[in-house]
Amino acid sequence: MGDATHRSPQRGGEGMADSVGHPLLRLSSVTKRYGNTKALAGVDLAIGRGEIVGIVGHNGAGKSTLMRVILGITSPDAGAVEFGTELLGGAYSLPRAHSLGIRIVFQELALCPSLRVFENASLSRSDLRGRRWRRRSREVIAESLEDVFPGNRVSPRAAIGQLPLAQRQMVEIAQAVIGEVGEVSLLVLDEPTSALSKESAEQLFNFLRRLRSKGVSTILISHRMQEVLNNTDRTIVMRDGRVVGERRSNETSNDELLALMGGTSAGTAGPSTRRQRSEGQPLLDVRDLSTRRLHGITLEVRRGEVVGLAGLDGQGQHELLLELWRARHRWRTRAVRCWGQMAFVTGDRQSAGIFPLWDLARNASASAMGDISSFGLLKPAREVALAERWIERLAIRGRGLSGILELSGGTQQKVLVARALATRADIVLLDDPFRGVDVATKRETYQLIDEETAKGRAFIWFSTENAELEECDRVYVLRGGRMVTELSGDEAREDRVIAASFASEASANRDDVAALGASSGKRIAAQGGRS
Amino acid sequence: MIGSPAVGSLRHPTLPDFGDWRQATSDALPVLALIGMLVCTLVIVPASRSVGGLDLLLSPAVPLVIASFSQMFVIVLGDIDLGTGYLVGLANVVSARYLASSPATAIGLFAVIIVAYMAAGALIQLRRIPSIIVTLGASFIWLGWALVIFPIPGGTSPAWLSSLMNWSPSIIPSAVVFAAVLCVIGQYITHRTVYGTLMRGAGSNRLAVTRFGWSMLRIRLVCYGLAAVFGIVAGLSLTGITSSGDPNASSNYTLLAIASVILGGGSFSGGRALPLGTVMGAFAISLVGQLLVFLNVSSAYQAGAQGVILVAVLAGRALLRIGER
Repeated sequence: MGDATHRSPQRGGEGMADSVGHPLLRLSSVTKRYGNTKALAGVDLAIGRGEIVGIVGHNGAGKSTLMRVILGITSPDAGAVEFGTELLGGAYSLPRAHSLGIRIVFQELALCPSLRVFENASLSRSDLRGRRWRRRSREVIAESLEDVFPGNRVSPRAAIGQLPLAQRQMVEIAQAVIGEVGEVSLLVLDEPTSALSKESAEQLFNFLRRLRSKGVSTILISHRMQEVLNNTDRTIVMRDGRVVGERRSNETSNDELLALMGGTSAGTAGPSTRRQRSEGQPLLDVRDLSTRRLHGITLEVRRGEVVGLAGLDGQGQHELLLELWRARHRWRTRAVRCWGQMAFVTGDRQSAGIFPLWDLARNASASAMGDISSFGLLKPAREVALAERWIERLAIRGRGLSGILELSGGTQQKVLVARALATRADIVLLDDPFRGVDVATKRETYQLIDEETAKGRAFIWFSTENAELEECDRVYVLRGGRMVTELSGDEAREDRVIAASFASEASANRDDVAALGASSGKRIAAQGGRS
Repeated sequence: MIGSPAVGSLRHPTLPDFGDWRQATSDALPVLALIGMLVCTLVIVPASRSVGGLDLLLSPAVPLVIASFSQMFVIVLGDIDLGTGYLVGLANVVSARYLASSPATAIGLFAVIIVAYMAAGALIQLRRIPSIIVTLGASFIWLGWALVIFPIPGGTSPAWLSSLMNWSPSIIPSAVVFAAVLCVIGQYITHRTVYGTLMRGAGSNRLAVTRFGWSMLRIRLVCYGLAAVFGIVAGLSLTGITSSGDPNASSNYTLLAIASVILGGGSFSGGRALPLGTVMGAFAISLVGQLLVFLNVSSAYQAGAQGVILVAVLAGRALLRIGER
C-alpha cells in the first residue's frame, strides 16, 4: 500500500529494490548526443512504484531529452531502459510506452484546437470509438476532469481553441489520465502548473497523491522549486546531461538544490578582459516597455557594451529582442528610443537564418546589399571582397562558393554572425545563436564580438548557455517577462544567473501565466508595442 | 483571461459555441452572403419569385455544391486541390460516354479515378510534396484523359440521371432538397464519424494526432478518396443537368469550390470542415455569376466582377481573423 512504497529513495536505484523487487522504471548510463552537444551524458535513474519524483535543472540540463527517452520518442545512443523486469531495447517506441501505461502531458501538444474537448479525447483513445462514441467520450472526459479538478467548469463540448490556457491545460491533463488505475503506470508532467491557477495546481497535486496511493508513479518537471519540494517524495537535480544530485524532498531546501544546479561551481575560467565600458554614448534606451508578455522592461545600451539577457528559456527574452528589432524603424516610440542601426542574428538558422540555395558568400552578404550595390545593381566584385573579408575574419572553413548546406552547423551560424557584422549596424541582437555550437567556434566568435565592441558596436545577447553570459558586461535575468535581476561586471556569473532564474518564486506565478500564454501562441503579436 | 475559468460552461449545452462576436460574424458570413445574393436576385429578376423560378435559379449550382464538398475534404487537412474542376469534367465525360451504354465500364473507370486520387494523396504524404503541386499536375491528367474520351462535347445522360436532376417538386426547389441531403451526409461524415473528427484534428494539430497513434497516410488516403467520390458525384450531376459531356464545362469549378469552402467557414490552414457553410457558400458564389448575367454585365467583365465580389467577401473573413489571437 501507499505508506510502504515511497520509503527508500536513496541514490542511484539500488535503494529502490524494495519488497516489490524492481523499480517501475530504471535507466542505466543512458547517453544521447546531438551533433556536438551531449544532451545526456550517462544518466542513472530509478523511479519506484507509487512515487512522485521531481526533476529540476536549468536550461540544457537534459530534462526534455530524458523525458523523450522515457517516452520512447528518442532512442538513446547507449545505456539501458528497463520497465519493471523488462529491458526496453531498440523496438521501444511511443506506442509501446503508451501500452506500458506511460503517459506524458506536454504543454499544448495533445490538443487539436479545431476540435471540441470530447472529440479530442476520443482521438486519443482507441476505446472511445465505434458505437455512441460521442456520448461515451463526453462522459469519460467529464468524469476525468471532475476527478482531477473537482468543480471545474470546463464543458466537454467546448471548442478547445476557444478555451483559456488554464482550461486547455486541465483538459490535457485530464485526457492523459483517463482510466488512471490499472492503466496508467507512470505519469510524466512537464511544467504542468505554469498555466494553472493556484487552486487548480493544488487540486492536481492532491490528485497525484491519490494516484500514488494506488501505486501510480509521477515524474514532475517544474521550475517552481517550492512546488517540487512541497509535492514530491524525491527531487532529482540534473545538470549538463547528468543527474548531479538526488534528495528526499522534505529533507532538502531551495538553496541546496540551487547549489546542485550549478550555484557552487562558479565559472572561474571566465575571460579576464572584462572592462567597464559604460562610458560610451547611448545607442538604445528602453523605458518601461510593456507588451502582452513583457512587463516594465527598462534597459539602456551604450556603445561598446555587451548586454546579456538570461534566465530560463521562454521567459520573454526572445520576445524582448523582437520588440527591440521592431522598434528600429520607429526611431522614437514611447518605450523604445534607438540611435543607430540594428542587425539581428537568429538562433533558428534552419527556418529563419540561412538561404539554403545560396552559396556562402551570398549568405554572408545578404544583409549588406546596400554596400555591395550601386543604383540597385549588385556589384559582384564588391560582394566577393566583402564575403572574403568575413570568411577570413571568422576563420570560416569553406570557400565563398561553397554551398551553405555543405558547412557544419557551427560554421553556418558563423556565417549568420558575419551577415550581421557585415552591415553597418551599431547594435547587434543575438537571439541565442550559439545553442549547440562547438566550443572552438564559440571561442572564435566571442573573440570577434570583443573586437567589434572595441570599435563601438553594442551587442544585446540572449543566451540559454549560462557560461556564455560571462562574456557580457551586464546581464539581465528575465522571469515571466520581467527583469528580475541585473548583474553587472563580475556578478555576471553562471551561479548568479541560475540563482536568479529561480528566485522570487512566490510572486512570479502570475507572470508565468502571461509568458506562457505568449509563447504557446507561437504567432508574434505585432501590435504589442502600442499599449 | 486566466482569471475567468468559467467561460466554457456557461453556454447552453445544445448551442454551438460562439466564442465572441468575431466568431459569430464569421459563422454568419455564408448565411449573410447567401441571403444577400438571393434578395438581390429576387429583386432584379421578378420571374424567380416562385418555386419553379427558384428551382431554375438554384439547380445549376448543385454540381458546384458537390464539387465544394470534394474540395472541403482536402482543405480540411490544410491541403488544396487544384484539380477539382477537371476531376468533375472527367467524371462528366466518363458518365456521358459510358454510363448509358455500358454502366460497368463507367463504374470501373470511376474506381480507377478514386484509386488515382488516393495515390495522389499518398504521394503528397510519403514524398512530402506540397499538395498544390501534385494536384495541379494531376489536373492535367484528368483534362487529358477527358479530352481523349471526348475531344468535343458530346454523349448522353442516362434517363434516370436526367430525371433525377430535372426533378422539380412543386412545393420546394429540388436544389434545396439535394443540398439538405448533402448537408446531412457531410455533417455525418465530418462530425459523427471518428474518421471525420480525425480529419479535422489532423488539420489543426498533426503532431497530436500522430502521437495518438494514427497514421497520417491513412487519413490522407481517406480524405483524397472522399474528395474523388464527391468530385465524381458532382460530374454525374453535371451530366444529368446538361445531358452531355464536356471536358471543359467545369474548368472554373476549382477556384469557385475553394472560394465556397473558405466563404463557408473553412480555413486554408486546415482543421475546419463545415458542410452547411460550404453548401451556402457554394450557392452564394453560384448566384453571383447568375446575377451578373441578369444585370447584363458583358461576359467579358463577368469573370472579373465575380472575382472582385469573391475577394471582397473573403477579405471580410480575413479581416475578422486578424483580431483573433
